[in-house]
Amino acid sequence: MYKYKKDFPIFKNTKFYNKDLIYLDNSATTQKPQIVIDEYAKFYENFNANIYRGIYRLSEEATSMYEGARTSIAKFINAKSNEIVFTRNTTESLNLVVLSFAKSILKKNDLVVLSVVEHHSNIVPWLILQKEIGFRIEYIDINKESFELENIDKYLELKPKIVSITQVSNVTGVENNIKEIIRKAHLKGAFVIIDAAQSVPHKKIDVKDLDCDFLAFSAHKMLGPVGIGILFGKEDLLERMNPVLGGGEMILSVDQDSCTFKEAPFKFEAGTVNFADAIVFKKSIEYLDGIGMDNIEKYIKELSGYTYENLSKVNGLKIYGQKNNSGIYSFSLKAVHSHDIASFLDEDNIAIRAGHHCAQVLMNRFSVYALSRVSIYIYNTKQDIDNLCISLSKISDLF
Amino acid sequence: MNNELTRAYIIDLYNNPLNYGKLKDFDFSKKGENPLCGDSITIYIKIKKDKIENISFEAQGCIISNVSASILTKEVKGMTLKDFKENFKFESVKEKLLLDLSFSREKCARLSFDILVSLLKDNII
Repeated sequence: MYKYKKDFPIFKNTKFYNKDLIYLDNSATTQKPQIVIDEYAKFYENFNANIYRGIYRLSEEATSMYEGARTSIAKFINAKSNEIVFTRNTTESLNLVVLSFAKSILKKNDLVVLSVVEHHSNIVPWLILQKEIGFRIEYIDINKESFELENIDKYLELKPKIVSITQVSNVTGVENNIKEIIRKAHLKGAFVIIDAAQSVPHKKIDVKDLDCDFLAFSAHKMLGPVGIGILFGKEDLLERMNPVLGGGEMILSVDQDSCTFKEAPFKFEAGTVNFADAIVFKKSIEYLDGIGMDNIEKYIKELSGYTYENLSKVNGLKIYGQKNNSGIYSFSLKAVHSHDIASFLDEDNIAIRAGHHCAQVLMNRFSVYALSRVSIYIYNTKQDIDNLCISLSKISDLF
Repeated sequence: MNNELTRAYIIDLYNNPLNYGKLKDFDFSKKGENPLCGDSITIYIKIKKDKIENISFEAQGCIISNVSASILTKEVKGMTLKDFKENFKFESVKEKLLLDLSFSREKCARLSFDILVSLLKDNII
């Protein structure tokens, strides 16, 4: 898999401190292959025009490319095209579900079930809406050994209207058995929303097989551009939802007193959308499909195991999580502050994440303020992990 | 932490901080936090005849914020309040720190200085 590293120009170009870049912050965002970067220029040099609006060939070409991107993305997760809404990112996708779908069905005494591993993007929108409506929120705890979400049954006994959880934690990297959770939640009549920001880049996701009601992810975490997120929603649910943003191109007609909306997904895409990035995202999907998501899953799993074993050998290093298939590990090293660890590693041109990872609920659960995190992707190698562990051992020796 | 010598100096100062711990006899104290990384520093100060007669700190946080607090307290101990107000800037700490601070790390280095300025503003100057 490391042979793909050459497709990413940043590894040739960026030599801070005269050292090769070792990029291990892939959960935050991934690097971009040359063909994805080239796609920008190709679009702007040949096809740029505002979509839907122009009754001329150039606009029609751009429109067709944008809708082609929607079709590719739908196929990538086994959805229908009209079940794919373009947003800015996972955060906006989740906010859209909360502000439209959840807002329309929740009442004062209803219950929403989240989990302690959620990213702030799957907590804060609920807290904002809760202030308005006054529903209750329960958080599923994690199992102390496996770090997976604990059995959901007792939470379902409380009859939640909605369960909104992450598939793979951005802190522990541990994958939850969401298929089983979705099945059980549906039996109790709850809708299920999945934050798939850390899972879609790593493995084949089939929304039909999972049977989730909504699923959100971001392009930039899977070799695509920043500024494009996806919301999958089941056709019938999207149809009954109200738009959150109003404006151009999402309407059928407007007069002084009323307006009518287009069908989903168009009613959710008001104004001039980020069509260029959506079109570029299609190229990232083609690149990933070219490698094969099964191959990617296999490679990440193998390198993840190697990462776990080698991090575990560093003196004084404690992993907050378990060996996983996602290649995401958060850790502490003796009493060294995570920002200091990141600064020391930066001197070796090793990029990792330090801080609370937008998961303060989980940090509180772990009784820590901040952790360091490594996260791998297809261009990382065993050599990258060896170099990381050598640098971490040097830091450990200093304290 | 830009070279081996600087690194050794900084880590030594981190392990052996100057003016560390709560003063037995102090007039004012103030705690400040950097919500980004959870660093928290408390500064204790004793004023006599418009002079910073004694100053100390307690800290939980990263190396940069700890070491900066050591340097700050060393530099301002014995200084008149007038001199501090007119002449002492964050840069005075920064140049003693010997580090090229990135944008994100500069906030760590500034924490103790900002707390001291705010403490004096609240209570004295």
